Amino acid sequence: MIVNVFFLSRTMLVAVGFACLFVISETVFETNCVAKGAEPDRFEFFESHIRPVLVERCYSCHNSSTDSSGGFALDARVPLLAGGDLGAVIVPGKPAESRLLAILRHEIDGLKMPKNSGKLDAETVNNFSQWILDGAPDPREKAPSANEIASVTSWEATLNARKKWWSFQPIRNPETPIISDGSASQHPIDCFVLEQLLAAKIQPATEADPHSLVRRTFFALLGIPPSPEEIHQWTKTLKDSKQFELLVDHLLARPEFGERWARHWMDWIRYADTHGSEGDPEIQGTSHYRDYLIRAMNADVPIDQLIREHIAGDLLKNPRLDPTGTINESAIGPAHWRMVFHGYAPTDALDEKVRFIDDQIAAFSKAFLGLTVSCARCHDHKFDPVSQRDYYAMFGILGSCRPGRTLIDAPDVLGRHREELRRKKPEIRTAVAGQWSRLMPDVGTRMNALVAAADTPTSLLHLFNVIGKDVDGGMSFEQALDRQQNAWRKDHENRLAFAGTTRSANWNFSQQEDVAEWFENGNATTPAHPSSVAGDFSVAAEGDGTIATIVPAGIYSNMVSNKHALRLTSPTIDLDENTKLWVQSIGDGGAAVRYVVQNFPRNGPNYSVTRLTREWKWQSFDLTYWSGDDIHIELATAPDAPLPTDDDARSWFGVRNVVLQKKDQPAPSEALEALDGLFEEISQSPPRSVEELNACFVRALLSAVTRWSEGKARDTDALLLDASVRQNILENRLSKMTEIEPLVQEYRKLESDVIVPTRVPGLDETIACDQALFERGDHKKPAAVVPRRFLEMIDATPYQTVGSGREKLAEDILRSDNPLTARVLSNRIWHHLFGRGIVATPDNLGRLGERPTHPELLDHLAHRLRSEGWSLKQFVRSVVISRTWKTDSFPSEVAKQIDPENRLLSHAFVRRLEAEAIRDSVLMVSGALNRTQFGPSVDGSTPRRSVYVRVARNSLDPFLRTFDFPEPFSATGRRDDTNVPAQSLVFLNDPRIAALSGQWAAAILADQSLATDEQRIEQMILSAIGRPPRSDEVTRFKELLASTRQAEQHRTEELLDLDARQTALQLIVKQIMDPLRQALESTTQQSVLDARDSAPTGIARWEFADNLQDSIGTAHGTAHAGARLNAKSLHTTGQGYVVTAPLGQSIREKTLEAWVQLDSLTQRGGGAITIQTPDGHEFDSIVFGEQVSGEWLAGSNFFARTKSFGGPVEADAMKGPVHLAVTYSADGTISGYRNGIAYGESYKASKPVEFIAGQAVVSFAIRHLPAGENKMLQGRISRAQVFDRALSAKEIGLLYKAGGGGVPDEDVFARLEEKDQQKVLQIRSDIANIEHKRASLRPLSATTDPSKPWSEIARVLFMFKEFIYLR
Amino acid sequence: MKDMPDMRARQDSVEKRSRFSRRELLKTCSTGFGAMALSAMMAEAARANASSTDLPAGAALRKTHHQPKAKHVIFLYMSGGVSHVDSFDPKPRLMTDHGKPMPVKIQRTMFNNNGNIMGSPFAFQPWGESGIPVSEMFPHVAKVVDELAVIRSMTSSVNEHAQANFLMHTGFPLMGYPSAGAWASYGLGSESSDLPGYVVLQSGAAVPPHGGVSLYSNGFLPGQHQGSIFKADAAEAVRNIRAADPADWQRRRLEFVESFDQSFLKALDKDPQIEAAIQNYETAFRMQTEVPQLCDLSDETEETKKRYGLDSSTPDKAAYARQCLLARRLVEKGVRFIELSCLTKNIGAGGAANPWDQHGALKEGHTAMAYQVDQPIAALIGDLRDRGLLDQTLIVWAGEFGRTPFSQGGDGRDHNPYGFSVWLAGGGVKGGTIHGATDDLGYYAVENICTVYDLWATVLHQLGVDHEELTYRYGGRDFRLTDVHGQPIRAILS
Repeated sequence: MIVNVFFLSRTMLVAVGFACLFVISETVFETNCVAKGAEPDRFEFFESHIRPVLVERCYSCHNSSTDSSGGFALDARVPLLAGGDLGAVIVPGKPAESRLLAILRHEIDGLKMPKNSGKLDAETVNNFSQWILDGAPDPREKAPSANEIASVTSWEATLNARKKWWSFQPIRNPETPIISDGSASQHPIDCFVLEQLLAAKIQPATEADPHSLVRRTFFALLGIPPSPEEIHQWTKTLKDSKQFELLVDHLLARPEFGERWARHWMDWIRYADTHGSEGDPEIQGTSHYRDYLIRAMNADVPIDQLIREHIAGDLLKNPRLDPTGTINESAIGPAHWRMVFHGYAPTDALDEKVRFIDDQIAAFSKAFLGLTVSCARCHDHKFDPVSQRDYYAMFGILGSCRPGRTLIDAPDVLGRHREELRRKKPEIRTAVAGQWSRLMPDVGTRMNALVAAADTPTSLLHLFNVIGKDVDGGMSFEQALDRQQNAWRKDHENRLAFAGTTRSANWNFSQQEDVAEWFENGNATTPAHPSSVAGDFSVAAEGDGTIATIVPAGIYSNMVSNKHALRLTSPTIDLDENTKLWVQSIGDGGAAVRYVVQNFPRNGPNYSVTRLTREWKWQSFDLTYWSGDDIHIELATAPDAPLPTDDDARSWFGVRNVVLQKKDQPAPSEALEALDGLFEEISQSPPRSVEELNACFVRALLSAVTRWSEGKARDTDALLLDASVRQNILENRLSKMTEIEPLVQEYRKLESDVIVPTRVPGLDETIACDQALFERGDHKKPAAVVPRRFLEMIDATPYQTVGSGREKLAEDILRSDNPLTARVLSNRIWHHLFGRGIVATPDNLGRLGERPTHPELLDHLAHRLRSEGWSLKQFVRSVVISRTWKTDSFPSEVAKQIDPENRLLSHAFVRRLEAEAIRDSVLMVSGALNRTQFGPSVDGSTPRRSVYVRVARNSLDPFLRTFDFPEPFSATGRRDDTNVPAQSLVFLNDPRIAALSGQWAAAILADQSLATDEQRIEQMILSAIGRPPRSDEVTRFKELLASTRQAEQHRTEELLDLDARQTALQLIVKQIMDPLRQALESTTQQSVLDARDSAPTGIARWEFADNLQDSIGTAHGTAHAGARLNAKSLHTTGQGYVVTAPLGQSIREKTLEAWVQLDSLTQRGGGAITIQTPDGHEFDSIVFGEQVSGEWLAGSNFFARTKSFGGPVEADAMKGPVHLAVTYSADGTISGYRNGIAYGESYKASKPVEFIAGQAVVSFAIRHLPAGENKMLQGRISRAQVFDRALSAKEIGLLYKAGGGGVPDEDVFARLEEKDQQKVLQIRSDIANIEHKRASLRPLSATTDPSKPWSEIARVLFMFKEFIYLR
Repeated sequence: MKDMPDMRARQDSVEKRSRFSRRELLKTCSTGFGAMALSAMMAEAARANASSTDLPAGAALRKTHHQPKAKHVIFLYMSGGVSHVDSFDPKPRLMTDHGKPMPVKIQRTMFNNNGNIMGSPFAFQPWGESGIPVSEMFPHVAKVVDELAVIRSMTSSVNEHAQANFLMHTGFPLMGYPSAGAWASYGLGSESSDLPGYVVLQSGAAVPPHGGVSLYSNGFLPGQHQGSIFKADAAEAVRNIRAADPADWQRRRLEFVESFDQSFLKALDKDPQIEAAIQNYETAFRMQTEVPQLCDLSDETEETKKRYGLDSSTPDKAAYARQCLLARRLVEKGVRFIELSCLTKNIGAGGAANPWDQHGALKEGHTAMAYQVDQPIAALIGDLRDRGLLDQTLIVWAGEFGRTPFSQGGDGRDHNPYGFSVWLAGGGVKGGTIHGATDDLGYYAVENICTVYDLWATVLHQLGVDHEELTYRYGGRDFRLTDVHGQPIRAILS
């Protein structure tokens, strides 16, 4: 037993062992310390174990100075013994008769003490029992005064007392103990560990054997097992410790290191790809954050830098770029703030905000401080020196940030060509204006051509159209014009009236001071160019247009390139009653406007998002519902909204005005603003005919062009020009503007080099707002405002920042007088290396956490971490080369007796591999692992490393969950390690395990270097469990091999027998049905032809009559490896196959159809028709006999969408072609059909995969690309077709008929006489029974596949405990 | 530490019974290592009184806190939110004031498409000796109404499905916390060695309510307590439960593996976690026959199947009936907590995850949904009673909130968390009771207002557990199913 004694003051002492630590104030102690020194021993137990509890947990209610609860004071000996209104609670010497203990144990209803602050832990209660047994010695003669009580029970006193807990003490650099034992390692870790071991008289275990050590080291550092070659290489020389260091250095340099350690870090910050709740929306771009961690771990980026980046990486003055200089790595860190759980459309938005900020505080404070700060949301922390004010100080920092998106390209990449392009624009404008001026005489002609079609009010020439009609209808020109003038005047008055409404807020973005109040994020605008003046314009990036837009004054995202990003947000607005929001805006490509209530980023009922249109429009929102809530307004290009609306690379918007006013105020109008110039002309020289009116228009247009050319355009000019361009009144075709073309081409060339920014989830800075403390955590009860700052136990100075203060927070987390961060991180790394932390509760170093087993060692490590530049790799290296880490896992007898929990680390812990390591091992050992790094998250059925598997809150990967993959809820420093039957069931029955076993078996047999069964067995054992077999083990495996072969033989015979019986029965059915069938077929020749007419047509069809052409589309086939056309079909013999050109359209829902004749019914795994990605990584296919011999199957990558249809085993396909079809519906239902009727049962799989136009190819006679073993079909394909939807059963029936398939069985059956029907039914039932028996023999079958017994070897190896446990 | 040898001995004996690793055992003791665990046990022993009953090995509590009235819980979850004013809480004023504007301020609603007061399209009448009014929606349940204690004053603190589902299941309105079933399994263990303590039944196209499978989560409790989903009518009721190989083949494989595992175990000095993991294969092997047998209803009489409605020509009703019958079979097997899932009729916004969510077409939707569950539920109550199991089985019928007394879009109702009805039956509940009340519009609970904490405190109480004493230390705090609230609703207990 180890004793940690912390000397805290000259008078006081503290706790022993694992007990809780309490401290009392010296004042109280000394005023009462009459007996001090007189009977020190007698009172020692009271002073160390009883008094601190009384002071902290009882004094505030039960004292002599105030009206004590229950008339019971316990701040001095006499009243304590006297008890309260209900009599004495202590009988000295007799714990059993002392009611106090029952009260503390909560055994008396209504008298559960301490009240409302949690039961005392059992050890403390036992101390009271012991103390009473000892006669309840108590030195306190005099009760403390009211002031003294107040001072010892105040928050300050509590804080000061709690700050003395071990983890809040400065990190010391303790001297390494000198171990006299000459043979011992001098590694500091070993010295610290040995010191305690020797004190306990325990000898450390010997060093683990080389095989265990190599395996342990691979998993600890890389998370994957060593290959047999690596095992050979490293175990040979491992006795030499220098060689072990070489191994460690080699592994630290491997790219898999980052994948392993990034995943640990992801546990700490509850990484997730979705927000959860209803809809479980994706948090787009999270995989960039995962890849950032992997890169950082591999590059050994200092941990303090990573933490800094996590908190405020987007704000760093000198961001860290990746080695190519193109990625702003630092900016990715804050993505974790966005991995919060979000509700769906909460009616109480503030409640939701409080929750998601609480989520942020909880995850972050546990991850980096090892503190449960979020326990202080409703009250001061019950155990740690964290006040409720601390919580709201931190809340203020995070609450001042808004969910956003961060561009992570390096600044110069984001700014590429921006200024140069901007500089080119005036030249283009001048040239275009010149051309327009010259072409102005043509405008009249163009107008005449356009007026007739201008019959909608949005058309610029609409009024000409109306006047024309009015005049034609007999109205005088003057009258007709007058009507239009009146309409314009009214519109003009409306505009003036709207401008004069009473508003609660109003921003006009032609005004710089209004622009300055909003927040612009993205690379479209710059501080120098936050907005545009009237007449600014954008150049068409492609096509025959020249000018894309000409705009009135406002804020625009597309003035240089519509690839640029912009998210524009308003200041925070406290909503009044009955408010309506008006936003005068324009946009395209998915750009949207919304109001954001309490920073909630999702859309839903009462959280509407409005996509902007290519026409200027006053978008309006009734905000009555949200009266009293805080909102802000947000306009964003599609990928830049916190939850993107779209991923259109070219998305843009512009905004002129934003108005908040009462609902009953006049609504805006804008319809005729573009014509202001025309009506000015009209009023100056009133036209007397349509021709003169046209001339007015041309003059107005020319004036606008002239002013634009001079840079003096007004808003109305810009609107007029923009509409004239779009409505073809002005020439805009580049091909017709030859003088301008070179300028525009030059512009376009540069613009095409502008990148589409990469976005990650992030935070927006605005103007900071301190948070009001919520009384008892109730967000409806705001109390005093708490300034933003760090934890008061470290520094209570308020932050004086304009923004949130995240940079300050990052500094404070890492400041040298905060001992928590380095301790927490050191302990986390240690935990992952050893399986248990020095503190066994890595997320909590506070008082409810475990105490450190080796406090000095932890300080040594934390000190080193800091002084060695926070290097993860250095840290890992120095730990794993210690002898302590290398010890064997077998405990000595002494250790078992004295230290059964192995707290002293005399030996290594036996550990189960984590979920990811198990999955990765299965994939790697079987040879299926795809080692591609980085990129978007994948489905669990993709054979990539588990770190890349999507973490969708509502549908976590079932395999990983089974092995305790954590829910992404809060920091998880220590995972569960459960033992549940579902784990065994995976290895017993999961078809993926079976498939991987088969894959492994095939690879072993294909390995030419393995000549004998012994060698193969040895190789497999080495791969799976990392050690060579003992000789008896090889023998046993050989026996298994032999018995498996024998059993298979036996079952093969059984199967053959069943087959024979089945064939005989089928023959009888045939004899009954065939005559009728033939009769029916002869009468249905015509209906076959009808069927041809009415059968559905696919998107691609191959007849294989005399070519490989697609007779519908352009997916023509090419033959490979000897596939040939023969007798109007494609014939392959197990080598050849056909691949087509890419499909011309994307398809998700689909149907695959093929007519197939087989050369053998025992062949396995060949595909008839397959649709797939070009590399074959994803595919859907009609496959024969892959999982069960003779069964048709909807094959897919890694069986992702594959389940057995359970249809009958194929018996006819050698005699002639059978018709096969598989349909894939939108909801994931997959149905199989054979000869026009359902084949087995449909089932539900994941949603159908989308195959992309121009990429996806179709192949025949091969399961999927690339070509190789076990995928080829032997037989003939005579016709095949692909449909872009799931056909109905009826349509499949038609296809079957149309293909000459004859009359379906069921039609024949329906026409049989009743007695024949009975007979057929009986035989069918017999056949079903045979099928059932067959099924029970699965997966064995009449096969000579030599890899089967080896697959069995693989199965048992996966089931070994040695496979999933590390020693 | 002088207590250590005793401690070891005690642990060993517990382990032998439970096949739990030492580490898990200590975890389940909830107080940590060493002497603390021992003293916790001593304290527990000291508290135990004559009426406490022993709990199976593996339970966090060794004995119940008091005499339990129920051993099992069946949670009939009406996902989407059943309208209380159309089912168990008749409001005549809605009829008289039908079409009039609400006389009180309307709180924010999910869809903000609020109409006027809407009378119930369903007629109510009193039933049974107790005369509890039940609407015509539930003609079968009405006939067993004397078994029901209807709480008309339930409330929720959230107004949207996912959070309300989380609140109803875990006491917290967000993911990450243990579900009530997980708490029951954790605290009381399972009485079946081959079946989990918390089973969630699904059939047909039923899916988890909004919030997903995390609603059945073990949260921070050990993983064996998470809800296991049984698909009542699927060929593979439980993931990977269908034996991929013949039994004798599997047996040979298991024996081979175990022989190796035993030498591994020996080489590791009988590490208890390895020992438990070896045992695990045996359990899994047995489950492969146990579970399919359980789900195979061929040994039930036609009469029983008919009683539940398995013969119904309405597929969703037959599917729900199957769940109900299976629930009874699971109770017989000793499963602690069973939750059932409704199937959608796709009426009025009620999708697969929220079948009762009739924002529109309330009459049609509620009629169809009630038809689905009514007869099966009544049959379940009757069947349990006939078999003498109702006394030890507590049935909880609840959705995540009620619906508004005013209309949405003319013929639907929006969510109403301010007052709604749930009912309990069996397991020591005083049948034929009405508890609490809403105002005369059915908008707010006004009398004996209940929370989800009270509901679960009551359920735990009936299971013999003091809800304040079933805690788990996680992240620096002792958590309970009832957070820091809740009191058993004693008025509905017999």
